[in-house]
Amino acid sequence: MSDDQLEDIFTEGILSNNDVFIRILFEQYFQSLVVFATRYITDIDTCQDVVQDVFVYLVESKQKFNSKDHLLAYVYQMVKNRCLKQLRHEDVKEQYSTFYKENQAFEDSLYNNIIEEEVFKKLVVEINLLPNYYKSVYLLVLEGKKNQEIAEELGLSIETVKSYKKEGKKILQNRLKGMSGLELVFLYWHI
Amino acid sequence: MKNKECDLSEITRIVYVVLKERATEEERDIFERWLHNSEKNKILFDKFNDTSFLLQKYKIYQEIDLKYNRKQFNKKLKYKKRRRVLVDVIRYASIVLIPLCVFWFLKRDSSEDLNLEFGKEEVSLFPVLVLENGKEISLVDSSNEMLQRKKGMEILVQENAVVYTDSFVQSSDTSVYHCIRVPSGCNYVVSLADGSKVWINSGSELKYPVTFLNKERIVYLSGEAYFKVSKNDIPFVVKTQDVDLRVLGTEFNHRAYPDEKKVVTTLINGSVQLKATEEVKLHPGEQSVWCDEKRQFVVREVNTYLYTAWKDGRFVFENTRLEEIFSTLSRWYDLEVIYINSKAKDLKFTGDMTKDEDFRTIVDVIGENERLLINIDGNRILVGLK
Repeated sequence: MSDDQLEDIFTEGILSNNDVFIRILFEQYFQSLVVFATRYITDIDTCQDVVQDVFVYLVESKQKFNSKDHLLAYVYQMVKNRCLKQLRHEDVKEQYSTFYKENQAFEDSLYNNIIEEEVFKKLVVEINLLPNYYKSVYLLVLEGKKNQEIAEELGLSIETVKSYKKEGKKILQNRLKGMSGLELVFLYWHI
Repeated sequence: MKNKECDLSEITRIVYVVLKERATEEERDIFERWLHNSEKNKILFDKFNDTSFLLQKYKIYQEIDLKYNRKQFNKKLKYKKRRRVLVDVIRYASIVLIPLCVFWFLKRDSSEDLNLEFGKEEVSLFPVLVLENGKEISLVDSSNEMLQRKKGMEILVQENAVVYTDSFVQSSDTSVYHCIRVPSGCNYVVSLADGSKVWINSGSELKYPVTFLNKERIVYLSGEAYFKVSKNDIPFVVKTQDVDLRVLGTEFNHRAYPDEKKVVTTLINGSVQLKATEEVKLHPGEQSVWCDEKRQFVVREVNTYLYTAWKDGRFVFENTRLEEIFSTLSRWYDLEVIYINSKAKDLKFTGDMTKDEDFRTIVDVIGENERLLINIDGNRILVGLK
């Protein structure tokens, strides 16, 4: 499986911290780390800046890791530390996002927060995989909108909304079932 | 429970497969143990089943522009490297070198040309018909609707097609042009007033007159379309940025996506004449490629099926470079492809499949190539070599 191969390269990279590793890390973790940073800092631009700096640090320091878990814990912890430092630095306590205030009780559990971001990342990816027109309907469904409201908002008929909902659901389910009965023949490859 | 730090990514994976109802019995067991291990875990798991949380996260994800961030990250790295070099230079160099360093510093800004384009422009989800007054009509939901009926002319919107009929020629309305824009992920068919039929591929735009009254039947194309031009003594002309194509009545495929920097014309039957800075005439089964850089036509014989299968809902590749395959796929599936090794672009593949396929299936099959390394992450695809 291609995922496993990438995983291998990635694991190798974790140990040696090379360029390919940093690129893969950036593509796969940049967004979830920014989302994680928004727990501490409301301003998303500041969050992106912080995470960019973390990546620059990873390149500069040539930090190596024992395992993927070590890497995850290290990177998330670093984003958290830098966010908190940023807040102290600016001395603007109001900057603490409401999310942070409300969830302070669980703030000590970095471990669970990492799981949260990593699982949500996978779920968001699932939504993004839907074709655009199904996606627009699905997002409104998530908002709890009724068919009538969705139809009005997107300028579609109720029938179309219903069929898009059905189709979109089918696509998500088919992904789960795995790929079968495909009319697909990639015969050979050559360079 | 074992040491927490040890199974972070494993628990993530297991929670995900449980959510997707794909967990094996063993995975379910581990999950149950994890869930009952602490109250915190239960609270966390409830979040995943709460759609408002998912929506909230989704929205933050949408706000993060990866292209922009990649650029900022590269900038910061370059700046750091330069500064490090500069520190060394100052440390060892004599005072004579300082003006040089200043020059270096000043030059820094102008030399940082990373040519990464910024966020995509807003794209509509459905094909759009743009009328002469600039009014846009979404073509998804107006099946079997009469759009216009005046002066002997009819515009009928059917499922997946617009039909123009011109029952008698009149002298007015000579320069009335309509335009159809087709976004990624769909095709659209238009029947023009002269009876010609045009299949417009995803990510393309066709501008055409509502009635044909002039000495020439002129349409404008950006992107790819398959033309079935009805026989008529009035020449039919397809204009793209650099190339004018002229026919009387034939079938051909014309591909001129601005970002591909070439115009590929494949003739099925009849004959066509192409004109840019030079002229060329095609015979059935021939294909001409106009290259923006070389500014000349290259003509060769091809298997035309490869280039026209898209209109029948198929992707067909024969010994096609990976970069070209992904360029085609990304127009249909709205993908962003990132090459970790640019050599991967030159691998060649052959295949035939329907467009209804989940793109991951197609990409997975390509990924079975033992030299290739492909990772799908949302609609981003990372491609590298082993």
